[in-house]
Amino acid sequence: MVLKKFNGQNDIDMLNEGYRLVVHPLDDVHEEKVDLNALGAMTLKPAAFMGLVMVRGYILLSVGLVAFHVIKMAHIGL
Amino acid sequence: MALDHNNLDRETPVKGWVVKNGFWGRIMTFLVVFGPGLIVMEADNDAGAVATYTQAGAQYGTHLMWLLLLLLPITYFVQEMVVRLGIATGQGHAAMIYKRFGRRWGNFSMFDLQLVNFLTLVTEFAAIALVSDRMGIPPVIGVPVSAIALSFLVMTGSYRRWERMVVFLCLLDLAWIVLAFLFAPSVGSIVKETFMPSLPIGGLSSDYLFLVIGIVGTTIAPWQLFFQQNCIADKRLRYADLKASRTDTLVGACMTIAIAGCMMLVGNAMHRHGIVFTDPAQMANELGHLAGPVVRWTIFLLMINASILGTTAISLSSAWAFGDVLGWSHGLNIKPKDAPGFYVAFLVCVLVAGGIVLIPRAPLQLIILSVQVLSGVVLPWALVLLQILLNDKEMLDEKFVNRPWNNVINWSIIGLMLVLSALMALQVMQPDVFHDIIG
Repeated sequence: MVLKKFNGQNDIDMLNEGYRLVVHPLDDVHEEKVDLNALGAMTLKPAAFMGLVMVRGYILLSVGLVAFHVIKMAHIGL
Repeated sequence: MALDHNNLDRETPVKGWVVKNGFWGRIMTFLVVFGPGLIVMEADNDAGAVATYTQAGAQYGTHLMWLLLLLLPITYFVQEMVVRLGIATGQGHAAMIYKRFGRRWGNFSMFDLQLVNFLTLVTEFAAIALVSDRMGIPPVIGVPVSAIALSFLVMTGSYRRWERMVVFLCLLDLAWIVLAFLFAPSVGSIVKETFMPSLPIGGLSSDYLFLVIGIVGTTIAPWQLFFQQNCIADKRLRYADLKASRTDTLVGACMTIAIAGCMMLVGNAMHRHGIVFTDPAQMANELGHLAGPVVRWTIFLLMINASILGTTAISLSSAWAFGDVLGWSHGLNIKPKDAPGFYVAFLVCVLVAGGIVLIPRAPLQLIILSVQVLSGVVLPWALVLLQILLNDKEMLDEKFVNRPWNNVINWSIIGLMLVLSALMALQVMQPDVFHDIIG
């Protein structure tokens, strides 16, 4: 026998005899995870903060250029 | 904490399967976790991807197969980070960004995601409208019917039911493999161009470079990060599921790249017969003349399937992000009456995007162009935040945090994406720029 539905206490002994119980995550008990609310926001080092500002600036500029180009292509008043 | 399945007492009521240790045990353990990785990868083979890959095959035959091989580890490494983050925290991606980076940075991410997602949704419905028109069904009927079917798919109140249906839709994509066998050139030429690539006749050109950028842009998208992490949170994957979830993601990446290759090979049939086409629906008609109506109808249905998969994943990633950020009750396990905000956000995304497609003379070409560029432009931002989160030792324990080699690979990917996004933006601004430089 390779596979059978778990039948409570009748099958408990099998788990120590070369069998394992496979439970779907949604049928399992909730697992405790890291509490993000307790952690709060992370402290960014100045270099990391500046890095984020630069990447964001680059992306805003690129998005702005694309938007300008698209508006121009659509002939909306520019 | 989850149950210790090998030390249950006789009173513990558990729903599950008793499986023999070894091969079958590993298979069953994998199958209960399987889903999010396959779906996120396969949904990325959406309408835009079908158009890009078939066009690549039609223009350059098998000369771009090497790129898919290169993209396989890239897609896997990016999504594998999401897997670790999702399993370690059990939270959605948007929630995590807001909680760890604060509202200011979170708002930027939310804006990027919602803008690109909405425009991409319009392109998915544009593809549905195009195919339904070619099938003889007026788009005013085809588009609303698709939107309603999509809503039924999502609003079941059961993650498990939704996942099973979507995995089935993903597996339908395997039909591309059959089509590729029908039209494929010799195995030798496929293997040669994949592992020992050569330039196409005419050498490096601006069109070739643009397609390279387009393929990279269509293979990795910001919504994928949000989508897979929320799937993992909704499915409540456990710490012990990490290995199986990584395998799921790898299987999804391999299948998606293989199917992308098959789309290129189908496009290559047009290249070999010297037939030019403007969209995959026209390609289906042309191949129908060559190989019969079954092929034509199969490609039509695969295109609709690609759009439905893309629409499901993208609209859900938007709705999940709204739920994460605004604190609404959200998740596919919750019935619509108990999570009205989440489902209304989903419906608004679907209905407005579908509605725009039906507006006569809507600038769809412009939207499609904007999507490809914007998606590529904002992707590095999403990847940078992901990379910082995976190095957050305050939040993640050693098992989940990035190793040095992870960081080397992922910063290289981010650097590559930044260069490609700059090239893509440059190409849109100055369409002749590559032509002037390369020829």
